[in-house]
Amino acid sequence: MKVGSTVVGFVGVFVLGSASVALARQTPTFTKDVAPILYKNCSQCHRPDEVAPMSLMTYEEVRPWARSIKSKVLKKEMPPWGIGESSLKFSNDRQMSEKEIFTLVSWVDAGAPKGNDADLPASPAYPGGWKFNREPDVVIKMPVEFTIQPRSEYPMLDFYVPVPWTDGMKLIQMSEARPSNKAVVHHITVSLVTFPPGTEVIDGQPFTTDASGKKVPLDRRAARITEQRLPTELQIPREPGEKPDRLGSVGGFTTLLAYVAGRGFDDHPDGVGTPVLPGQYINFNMHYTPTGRVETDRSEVGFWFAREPLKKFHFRTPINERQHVNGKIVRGPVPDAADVEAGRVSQGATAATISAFSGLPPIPPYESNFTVTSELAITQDITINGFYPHMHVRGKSAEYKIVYPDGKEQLLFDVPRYRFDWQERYVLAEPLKIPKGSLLKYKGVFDNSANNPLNPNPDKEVYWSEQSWDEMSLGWIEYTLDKQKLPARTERREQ
Amino acid sequence: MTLVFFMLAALLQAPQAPVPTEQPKGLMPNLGRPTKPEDVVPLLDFDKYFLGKWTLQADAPDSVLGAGGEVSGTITYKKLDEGFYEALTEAKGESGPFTIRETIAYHKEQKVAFRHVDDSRGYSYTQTAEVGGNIGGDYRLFFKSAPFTYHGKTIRLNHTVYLAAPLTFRIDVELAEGAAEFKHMSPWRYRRAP
Repeated sequence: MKVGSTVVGFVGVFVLGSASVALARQTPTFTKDVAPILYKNCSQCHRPDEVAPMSLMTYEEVRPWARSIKSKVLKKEMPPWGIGESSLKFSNDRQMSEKEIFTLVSWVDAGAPKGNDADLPASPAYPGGWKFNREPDVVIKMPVEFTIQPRSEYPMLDFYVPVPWTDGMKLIQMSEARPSNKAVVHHITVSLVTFPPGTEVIDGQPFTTDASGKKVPLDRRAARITEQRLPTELQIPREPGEKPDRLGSVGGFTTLLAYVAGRGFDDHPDGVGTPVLPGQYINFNMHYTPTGRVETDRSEVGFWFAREPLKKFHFRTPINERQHVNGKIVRGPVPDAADVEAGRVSQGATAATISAFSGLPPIPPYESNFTVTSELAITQDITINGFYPHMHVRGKSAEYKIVYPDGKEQLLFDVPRYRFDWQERYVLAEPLKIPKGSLLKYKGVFDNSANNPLNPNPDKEVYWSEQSWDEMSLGWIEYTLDKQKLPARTERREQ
Repeated sequence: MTLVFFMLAALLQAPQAPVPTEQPKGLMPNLGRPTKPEDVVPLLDFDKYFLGKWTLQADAPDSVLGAGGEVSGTITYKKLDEGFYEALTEAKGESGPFTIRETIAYHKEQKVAFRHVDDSRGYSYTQTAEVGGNIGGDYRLFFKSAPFTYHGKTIRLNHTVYLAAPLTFRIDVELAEGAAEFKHMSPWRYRRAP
């Protein structure tokens, strides 16, 4: 055994040594060796006007950062990727291989030479600055530029823009939201609404006419999300008497995408997307966080239409039907006698402190491991295509698990160091079939202690709301309904 | 005398009760309820937040101001008078040790700050800042410099100070050379010294 290890070690050293010698003979250069790595792993964010603060597309842009790049890739702080333990593979995993890291480090250590211009590969194309390799079919801007004043906070604001085409239904397969001022945009949620007949939208705000003929603001609750206008053959199939449930409700497919730092481009498998009809409105739900000085923003969204026939609606829902805090149930179906008997019902929450937003009790001051466990019963066969955990500045870690109908529990993945400033959407390399009768579990852990470097007020209770200094515990899933088999009826576009 | 000696010795050797250490506090008042848009953001309490010693770390790029690389050290804020402060940075970078001396004026009610900065690496500049925040306790100081000359080049520096938490803040640095646009220069991260 010892001899074997020694031999393996010797061979390993010999192989590594040979590789080092070989690589040392060929000092990596930017044009030949480094640029391809940066283009593949970094350019989506490190390019002009993107979320990263500096572009890394040219030698002149990269060279000043060489030492910093070495430090970040060695510590694996860059490229950012949150997944720790996982039983799944992800198509957007941009972690560098050991070989790529070795190449970058060797290049920096060799003085970061440029190399021959002829070796430089073509840089990746981002037409118009959009993430996809062609410009969107439609770009829709917020109807007005909004001014964010230096005040305490803003509620969520809605701006509506009519669907700009008139030639029938389109299937949105990809979408990207772009703020014009990243400093103030906490989130953009883009969804579809249908207003009642007679609604007039002026500067992005809906108005109706009252009994006296006067124009009055429309009650937003009337801006319903509805499938009534979808052609019959596109409506979600249901058994006679079957009511929409959590997984198959129309609300699940009318949200087009959400932008937060680290996310804002959604792409779906061929034939999967969101049907959008003329007459509907695009709802920009904007959350602005004041910076303390006057700022402006006019965000926009780009849509790419599907070129494949529509097969499935893209649904999304958070896992939040039944929630436990530190092991005690606080929300969901009425706790049963067993829960009460076992002391699993939270005693720490009062009517004054439980947030109407989430039904969760506040996080106590200096609490470093406040754990919210949420469940979602899977009531029909679904196929998951992606996940995105969402918390705010106290977010510490996240975890997704599944319990199959036979009782077998499996860790899907965890995010051991959740980052509020980089909230990844994890897209599966292979879709994950989830049978009816399963239970999905999501665990979010929150750190309200002073050791959390993003926690502004560890001495305060933390409530639950969309403000970034409050908290949210949402483990989203993106999925399709297996029973949905839609006819091929989207317009085919010119290739 | 002997008795006093033994009493003192006994006192010194007795197990000491742990000294209660005060937990760090944020700058927001405890409202006992969620925040509202009509809440008023308290003015930034410079003394409460900054005074004392902090450690710093940065990972700077090469620039017209010198070689980049890892920087580490400390900064100490002291109060000179009401609304006036000084800060001394003692740090080490790829090119060796350096110091940065700042004289700072902060007008709390006007929500503005000024500072004059002398960097031992051979340049100085003056900056003015708007000071703002939101009800979450997320304060920022937006420093902008007057143009200054270094090695024959005209430079402007922006520093945005983000007060993230009671024990940590961050300064984002941007540099513009001549009439060119500002370029990001990586953040300097600060942590309250133990």
